[in-house]
Amino acid sequence: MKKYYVILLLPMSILSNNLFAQSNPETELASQYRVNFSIPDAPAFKLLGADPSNILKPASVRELAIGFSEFLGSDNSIILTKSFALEFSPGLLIGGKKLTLKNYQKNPWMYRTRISIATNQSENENKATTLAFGIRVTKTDESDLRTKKNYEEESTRLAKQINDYISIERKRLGPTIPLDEIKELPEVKKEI
Amino acid sequence: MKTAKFNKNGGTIIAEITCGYAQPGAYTLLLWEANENKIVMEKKGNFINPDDDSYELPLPSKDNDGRLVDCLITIVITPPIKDYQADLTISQDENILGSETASGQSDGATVTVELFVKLESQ
Repeated sequence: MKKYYVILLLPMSILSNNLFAQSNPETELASQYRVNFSIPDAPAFKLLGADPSNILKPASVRELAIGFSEFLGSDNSIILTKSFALEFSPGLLIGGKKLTLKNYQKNPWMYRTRISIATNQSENENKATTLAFGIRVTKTDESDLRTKKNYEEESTRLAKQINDYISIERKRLGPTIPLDEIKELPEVKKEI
Repeated sequence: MKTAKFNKNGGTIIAEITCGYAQPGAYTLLLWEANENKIVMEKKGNFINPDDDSYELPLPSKDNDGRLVDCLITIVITPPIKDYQADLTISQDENILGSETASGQSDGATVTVELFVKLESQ
């Protein structure tokens, strides 16, 4: 009979943020590295102690990421995976399609929060499968462009500039010409 | 192209533009005259503040019969989220008459989409 172990990881990133908040204020650059790298990706995987070399870990804050490993057996037949990882942001998954920039900025941590679930089968003779759950709450993220006023203004300015070039041609050509044809016009292509 | 059927004797027709996945961007809203290359109304905006992205179309409402609502939207894909969604929604007297959506994922820096909704009186 297979044995299952379940591990639950509490929001360790909240704790880590507070612990590291006492660091030297002069090392501003280092503090940014702290924010970027102190929190493990897919905490559930960390709990399992799985070897990252044979497990595909989800990358960065994505709406949904799934990693599988070892799909193929020794005879190239498809087998059930020994390791499985699922990581997602509940905030983006549920409300992402209608999420405005302003609403994101009100509670960015909600949309950075990721839940991870991972399983791993041990290599020893009992073949026990371990199941782990993790939650990662990033209260502060210096790399989050959406919370930076300067980025918001500059990106909006860029978008307006591109939009203006295209809309000039749209107004000149009328509503029936496909957008892709307008984008390919030399005067538009040159500007965008 | 979607069609929004409106009440010619009803209230003001509203066009609203929204952008999801917390992506910044800008847009140009054009109202084209029926079967003509003539612009009746033009508005520009962005997604910094979503409260000012609703526009009242000209009155009386019956004059909008056959007109085309055209919205050009440029979205800046801000990592790590590659998804985007833009919506153009037409409403009258608090009833949604129709909407058009463009959505997807992009590895590029920006995406420009265009949404059309034709207005028809009933």
